[in-house]
Amino acid sequence: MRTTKRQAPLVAPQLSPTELEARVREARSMDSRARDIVASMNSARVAMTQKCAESLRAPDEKNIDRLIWYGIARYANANVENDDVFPKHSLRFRHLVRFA
Amino acid sequence: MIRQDSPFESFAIRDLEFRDLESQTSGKELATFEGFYIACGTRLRLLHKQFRGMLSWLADPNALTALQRNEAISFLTEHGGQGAIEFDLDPNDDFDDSGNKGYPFYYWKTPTEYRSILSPVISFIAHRIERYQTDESEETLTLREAIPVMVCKRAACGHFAVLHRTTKEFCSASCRTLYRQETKPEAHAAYQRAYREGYKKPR
Repeated sequence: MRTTKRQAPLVAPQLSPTELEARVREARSMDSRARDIVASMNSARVAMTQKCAESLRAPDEKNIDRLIWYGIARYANANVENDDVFPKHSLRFRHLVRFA
Repeated sequence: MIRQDSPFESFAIRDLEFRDLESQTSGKELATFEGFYIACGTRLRLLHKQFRGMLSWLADPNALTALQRNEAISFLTEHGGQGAIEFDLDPNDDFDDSGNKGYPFYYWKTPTEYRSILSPVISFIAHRIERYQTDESEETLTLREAIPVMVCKRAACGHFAVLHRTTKEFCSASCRTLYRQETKPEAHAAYQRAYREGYKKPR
């Protein structure tokens, strides 16, 4: 007994060569836009990670999990008796919390 | 932490609710920028010693006494154990297993409250420990991947550092040099003499 629905065969629409060309052009343009959006999202993410990595003083580190560990080590090493810990390290700590 | 309604925005730390800050500081103080940051600083200063104790245990579990180990695990459980982060679950109105028309999620999960200011960080650590200890081969992390942290070998330093691929015993090159000077003064002096010889101008 079949338990899955039989898929209707795909039928190509009857289009004139001009219509077909227009559709292909439209599809290419949309594909290009989608690629641009994805590239822009990726570059924004990389830039944000880079900023956080610089503030955690590990500018070459790309791995977010390891960046969290850098932040953890920096908090553990902070001299809380003499430093005014949070104002001085607030940006770093915010980046650490954001990543975690 | 990504917002569900606008995934490209992240939570600002002031948007998050930390139960320990709320129980120790009045809402009026927390509502101001300065008041919130002062409360965070006070709390972080207070938790710092215990946090270092927990991290020492993670870096070298056998180096601590039984009492210190118990304190470390209590701290881990208190700030990162079950219920340390409370989530709000919103049902997904547009479920689609394929992900083509909707989203393959039963619900959206948003963190609403943290038990303490350190809960996001300590929950991360607890999750890494679980992944190190798990039997599920796909999830398992090696010890170095899970807890890549060490304490500087020079006792007078005691700084924490993140491990790299190569073996690392010291937090910095200067600590390594100081350790050599302190533990093997004669060998260090001989090394320095040989080093200086290499830079002497030929006559």
